[in-house]
Parts: sequence; C-alpha cells; structure tokens
Amino acid sequence: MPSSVIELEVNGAEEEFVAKPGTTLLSALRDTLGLTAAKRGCGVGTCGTCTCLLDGDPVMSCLVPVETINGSSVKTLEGVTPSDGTLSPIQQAFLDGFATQCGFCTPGMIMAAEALLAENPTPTRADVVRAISGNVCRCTGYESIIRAILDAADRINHA
Amino acid sequence: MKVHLPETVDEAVGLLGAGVLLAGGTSVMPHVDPTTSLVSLRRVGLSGIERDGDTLTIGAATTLARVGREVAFLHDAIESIASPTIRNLATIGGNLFARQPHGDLAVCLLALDARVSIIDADGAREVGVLEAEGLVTAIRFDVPQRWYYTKAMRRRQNSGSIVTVASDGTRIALGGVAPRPVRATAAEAALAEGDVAKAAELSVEAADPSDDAYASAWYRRRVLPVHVRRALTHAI
Repeated sequence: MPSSVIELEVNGAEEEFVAKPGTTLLSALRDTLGLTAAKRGCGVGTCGTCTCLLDGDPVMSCLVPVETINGSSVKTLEGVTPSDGTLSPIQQAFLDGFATQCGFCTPGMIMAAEALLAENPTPTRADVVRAISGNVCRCTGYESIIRAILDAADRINHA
Repeated sequence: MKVHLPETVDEAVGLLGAGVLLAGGTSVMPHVDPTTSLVSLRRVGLSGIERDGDTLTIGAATTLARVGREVAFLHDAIESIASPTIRNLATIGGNLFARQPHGDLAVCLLALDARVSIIDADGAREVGVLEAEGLVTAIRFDVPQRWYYTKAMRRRQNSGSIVTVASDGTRIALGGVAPRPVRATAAEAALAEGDVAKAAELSVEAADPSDDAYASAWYRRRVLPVHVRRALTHAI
C-alpha cells in the first residue's frame, strides 16, 4: 500500500506530510515534523514518555498509527512552551521544584499534567498520582514531580 | 504492511482476514511488525452508549475512559485498568481480547452475562463474552441491582491483576487466575445458598493460575478465597 498524505493540526498549526503505512504518531512527530519533545522510551505503551494530547486527551503516541487519526488535533510539549522564551507554569514549577533529574520522562509528565489541570484546576494529590500513573520516572523522582504539579496548579489559580 | 481504514461496518466485515483488527491499539500495536497489516476500526463509528431502561448497549469501540465516566457502577473497575493515557485509547470491545492478567472489564462483562454482537463469515449474531470472535460491534448488559468488584494489584495504579473478582451477587467471574476470565460456578452455587465463606473456598475450583511478573500461581491460588470473600461482603 502506498504512503498516505496526512493532515494534522499540530500545536495549532496545520501540517501536511507523507507517512508510510503503520507510521506511529510518535514517529511522525519526531522523524517527520522534527518535534522531539515526545520521547520513544518503550515503544509499547508502558512508559508514557511519548504522552501527547490527541484531540485534547492524553494518549501514548507510540500506540497510534498516524493514518488512523488523519484530520485530528495533536498537542506536544513544544505547543505548551511559550514562544517568547519563558516557560509554562507547569514547566516553571518543575524547574523550581527540582522535578527533573535525567529529564527523559519530563515531556510526558508535563503533558499528563497539562491534561489533568485543563480538566481539573484544583487536583488533590490522589488526582495527580492517577494522572501520571502511566508515566514512568526511571530516576524514581515521583514525589518532586507530584509536588511540582500541585505547585503548578496553585500558581495558575493564584496568577 | 497495509493499514486499512474502513468507514462502515460492511467495509470492515469485507476486510476481515486482511489484517489484525485494530481498535484502541493498546494490545495490538506493541506486537506490530512491518509484515503486519491492520484493519483500523477508528472510522467505523462503533462508539457510543445507549440506555434503554436498565439495559445498556455500548459500541465496541467506546473507550474505557468514556465507559468509566458514563457507567457509574463500572467506574471503580475501569479505574483499576492501566492508566488514563491507556484508557483514552483502549476500547470495551478490545478488552474482550486482552490477555490475562489484563482484561478486567471482560471479567466484569462475564459476571454481567453480557451479550456480545459479532459479525464474521457466518453473519451477525449475539454470543457470550468468552465466545467473541470476528468483528465485535456492540456489547449489551443490564445494570445490576448489586455489584461487587475487587482487584488485587502489585500497586494501587496501573498494574496487571493478581486476582480480580466481579459479581452481581449471583454470578461470580474471576480474572488473573486462569488463561481467560472464568465463571466460578461452584462458588456461585454456594453463594445462592447464602454461604459466602463456602463460596470463597470453592472459588479455587475455577482457578488455573500461572506464574508471571505480578504473582506466582501458588500465591494467586492462596489469596483468591480471601479476595472473593472480601469482594462479596462489600457491595459497591
């Protein structure tokens, strides 16, 4: 089967590109569009480093063949980061709270947190734990990540 | 490799055999290689929840996240499955084919005696949860008067099952303790006589557990009666 032309709205911009059959959303983002924030950790949907928002919902982008979501809207960490060189409230809270160690899980953690705070601006600790339960931090820095997400919620609510 | 994108049920049925059926992809995609063709159900329009009195009919491609939001008595069971990022993709129809010790929703559907609408080369018909094959289009069940569910896991979130117990107070279905979800019929007979302790004890007769990364077969067999007893004494 020939490659297909895929149209996606990625971080607010219309993108059109050609994808071979079976190309995952993650591969399209990283290898075709050059958006490398989403990471390929396990490639089988268990680590969460590839977490992106698909039509607003956080999903494992390594599990989604991009042909099947033609016409959808996708948001990655690049779309969260302000274009003026500053950081988003969640990014700033991660930085201030030393919630990144090696940093590999950070883009996925922040996208999971983005989805949580969009749906629930005043999460409890249990809500945060649930939201990042698909995201592995191999440095085991979960406590500082959980605190940073709660801190980000506070900052956004008091901004 | 091909990825077929049928837009109607008829088109999808015509493509049976042309590739692996793909709904949410959470079980299929980890095993895809360049020789695997796929038949994606994403555009077939099998998603949705219909209520008719106490009877629910759920489209096969409805995500677990949506089932958890809209079907209150299944909320706890859905929350016990994987993570939100997986539940936003994984579907109720796909869960029927999840390999144990996953597929906790299938365990619930077995306890509910859910009817599964399928289409294959022999045409369209309704079968039981364990007989599902071909293209699943919808799953129908009655909201139970009582509902019992418990899942023993290695951690509170995102773990395969050590033991899963689902019951409507009459039927008892088990997960984590056999190659597929199973009904504990001897335990059901004891439960019908009101003897929860005996039901718990007899539940082991339905078990054929395996060793895996979550628990040993010995451990599963050992704790199964405990979890059956706990499940049956705490209605959700």
